[in-house]
Amino acid sequence: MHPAWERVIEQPQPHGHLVQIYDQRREDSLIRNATRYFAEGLRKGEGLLVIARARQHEAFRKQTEGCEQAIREGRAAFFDSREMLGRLITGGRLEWSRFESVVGTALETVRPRGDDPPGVRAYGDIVDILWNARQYSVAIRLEQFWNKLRTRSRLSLFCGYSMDIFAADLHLLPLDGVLSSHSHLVPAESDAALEIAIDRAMEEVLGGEAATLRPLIRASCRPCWAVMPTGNRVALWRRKNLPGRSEEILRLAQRHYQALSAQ
Amino acid sequence: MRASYRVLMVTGASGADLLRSLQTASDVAVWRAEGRDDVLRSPLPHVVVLDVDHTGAEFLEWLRSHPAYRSTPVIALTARREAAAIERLYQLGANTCLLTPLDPAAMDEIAAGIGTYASLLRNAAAAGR
Repeated sequence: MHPAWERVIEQPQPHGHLVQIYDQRREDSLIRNATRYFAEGLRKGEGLLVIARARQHEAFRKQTEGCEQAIREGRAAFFDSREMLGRLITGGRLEWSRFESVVGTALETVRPRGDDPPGVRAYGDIVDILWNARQYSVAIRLEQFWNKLRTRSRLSLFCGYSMDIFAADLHLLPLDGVLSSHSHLVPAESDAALEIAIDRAMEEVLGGEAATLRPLIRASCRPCWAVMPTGNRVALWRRKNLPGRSEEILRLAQRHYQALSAQ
Repeated sequence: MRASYRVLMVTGASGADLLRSLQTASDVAVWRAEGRDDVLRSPLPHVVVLDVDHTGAEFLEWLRSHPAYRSTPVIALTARREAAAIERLYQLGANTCLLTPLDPAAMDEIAAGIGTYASLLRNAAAAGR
């Protein structure tokens, strides 16, 4: 991973809101990035709030340096995201007052070190549960609630979404909402690998036209979206703007990406 | 040579350099329109380049409401940097937004990219027929 992205993960902006989109079959990339984010926060004395599926707790705790001690000191707390989702949704609705009460209470259990607490790093994947249940608008609403909470407290956030950006049935419209709710989209694997894979696939499908299309994609501007690696930006641009050819390119890009990631 | 790809430019002064670059690109026929009547008189393009600072964002809204232009890709040009203003253009139906002034060094490359984009769309439409 490029050092600039390592810095984004290790030292997020005070109210940074990171997101990683990852292939469920390669959950190790999420664990690696998230635990890097956790460990650096704990090293600085920050608090840690993890709201994740119970099956991920062990990997997060095992791979985060200083995590067990932070739990003993009350600086880190883990919650089951499925259980918390059940408490957040009442009567099929997600309301701010409920969110503030449930998540606010969870946040209060975390006590950062020192007299001038440096803040809390949080991880959440309730949005992923909602996304994969096709509850897109609720997922985006939840992101907006997190953003509201971030402005009121010294809190940065890391979200994980398991989705296949190469999939033909990826829902692009709600994805806009996800990308607009975050400050940075961190690369799942090597950010260069995705860019190379897409470039190769574009050249195979479009021939010489691939190179001439690239400056237009590069000049395209979408400031509401999270800052993201070039490979992700190109992949999303293609999906939105080149129906038909996009599927062929993404199918080939996926093959190249898997081969490059396995190296 | 007969131009294969049609680009319709609805621009003011800020799009003049891009217009010149597009006009010199091979295989691209460029029409220029000033307003709605001009647009409706022009042959249906493969891509529209729209200077929204010249026309107003409501022009894009009108374009998208017209049956002939509902699915024609639109590249919006704007000098406005505010994220909300740019996002509104996407919500109104722009496929891509380019910030003006465009980099003069990259102008020819961007023009070539627009030509390629038009050609790919034309080919995709032909394959879908």
